Amino acid sequence: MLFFVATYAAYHKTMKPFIIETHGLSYSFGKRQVLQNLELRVPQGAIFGFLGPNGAGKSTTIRILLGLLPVPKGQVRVHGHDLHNNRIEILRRTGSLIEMPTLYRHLSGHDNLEMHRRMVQAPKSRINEVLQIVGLTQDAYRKTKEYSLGMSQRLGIALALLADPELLILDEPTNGLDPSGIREVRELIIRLNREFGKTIFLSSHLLSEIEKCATELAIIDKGATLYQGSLPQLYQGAFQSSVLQLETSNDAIARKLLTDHQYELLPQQGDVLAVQVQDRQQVARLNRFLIVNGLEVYRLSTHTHNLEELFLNITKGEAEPAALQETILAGKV
Amino acid sequence: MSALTYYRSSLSAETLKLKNTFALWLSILAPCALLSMNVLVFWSKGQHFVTEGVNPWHKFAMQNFSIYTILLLPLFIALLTSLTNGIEHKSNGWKHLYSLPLPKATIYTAKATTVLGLVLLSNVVFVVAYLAGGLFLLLVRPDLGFESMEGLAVVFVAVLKLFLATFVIIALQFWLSIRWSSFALSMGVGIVAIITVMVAMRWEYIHYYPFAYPFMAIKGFPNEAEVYNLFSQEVLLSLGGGALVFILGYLDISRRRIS
Repeated sequence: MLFFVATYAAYHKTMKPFIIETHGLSYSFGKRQVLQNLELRVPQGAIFGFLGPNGAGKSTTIRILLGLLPVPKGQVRVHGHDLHNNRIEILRRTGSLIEMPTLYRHLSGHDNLEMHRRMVQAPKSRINEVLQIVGLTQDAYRKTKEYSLGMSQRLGIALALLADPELLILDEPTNGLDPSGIREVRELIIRLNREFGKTIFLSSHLLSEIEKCATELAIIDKGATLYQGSLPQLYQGAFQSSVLQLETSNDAIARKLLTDHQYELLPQQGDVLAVQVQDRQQVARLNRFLIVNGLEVYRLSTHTHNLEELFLNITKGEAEPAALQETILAGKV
Repeated sequence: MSALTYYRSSLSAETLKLKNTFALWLSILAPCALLSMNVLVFWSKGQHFVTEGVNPWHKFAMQNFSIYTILLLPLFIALLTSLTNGIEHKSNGWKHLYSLPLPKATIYTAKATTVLGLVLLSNVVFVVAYLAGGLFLLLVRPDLGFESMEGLAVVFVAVLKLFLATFVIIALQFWLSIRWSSFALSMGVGIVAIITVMVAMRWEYIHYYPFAYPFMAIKGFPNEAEVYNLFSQEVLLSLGGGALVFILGYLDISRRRIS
């Protein structure tokens, strides 16, 4: 027993602290259950992608994290404090941008920042700093109604940065932006994480967006966590169910060789041989095996489930259970 | 940080928010518009109003008060509150405000203070415009007797009393406009208030009807004894009722889920 306690303590010390933790978070609007036992562990310093289709409960979760929706004690901890009792203390160290930023259109970008600065009591010099960070110094004195969508979004991030928070919560920050706007915002997010050490909690319904910057991610649907872990782990999970297509100098011999060696051949489509493979090493072994047997290999291509398909599969509950179960368990450590 | 610091920072943000808004202009222009109309009336037909033994300053004030209390104030307050809170509704600002590291009560109180401040501002503008209007009439109609500037104190006290008597209306409209984003709702209530006050003017319980408080508060004007009784029944009811509505409004708002 003593030994267990000691190891547990040691484990705890070495573990990276979580900046956001939810424990069996449930929430309902009247009779409609929106969140069911949601478990999130956001490590400090991560860009945490929070992914789910529309209506999965992402916005509700974010509103809860920002103290806009009341939750009972013990379900949510941010910065190591219970949200129930420490709302203001937590919000002081958290910046947020929920969907469209709140901009007062009759005021200039600078005035919007100044107003926000007065409320969060940041030093005056901080305004120019954040303008610099988001690249709006030139347009600071234009009225925000003249701003493009991308500029508005960047100003929204500037507002969130004013109090120099350790944690940024961004809800669909690239929604409605054109490709260059999306790119600007994405680069900004990555820079904030790498240069300024901000932990970023980024929600999106677009996997392609999350994939490009997140270091960790959680996939939720219908208010429950479906996957949580790092991106490479998810890829690994995706690879486990992948299909290898090959072309050789003599497909008939190849087919025979493969079936004789217990490879799982899939129904042939046209001239292409398709084999079910479990991991990358197996691909290499298979290649060597064919060459050793005197065949020429012209093409080897893994048709990996791309992440988009995987995402759809996971959220539709159609993913191969065995393969995914493992990664989910691995991700939950 | 103390509650006062929170309040101060929140209030200073609110005042900056008013920059370039219609609400701010309205609170300056509305009394000016009323006063200038009455200046024109007195300029052209002053002799019908100022008869023997009538203090022209009092007559000029009464002329303004009647429209101001019955017609202008209910609509004006509805407009002001819905414009001020509309700034947040329009820019989706509530969720943003409530996710700031400030107590919710501070945000609410700062907003309420802003609205009260705007109404107070317009009352000050009213007094200034009244004095300017009277002095202008002194120039263009010397025969009306505006040169004796006597008994102005009672006018100032009446305006102060008027402001205190509108407290409950401000509180009510403030709650309506913070709770619902509809501009029509606030205006509708304002219009209903005008009509009911006009219709029920002679009703024996009219002095309990909140929208009639401003009118009832200065009914005795220019009788100094009545006006100088600053905390008359209407004013006390208005202050008490207003405070109650502000508190209940806060309880309602703070419990709401912000979507």
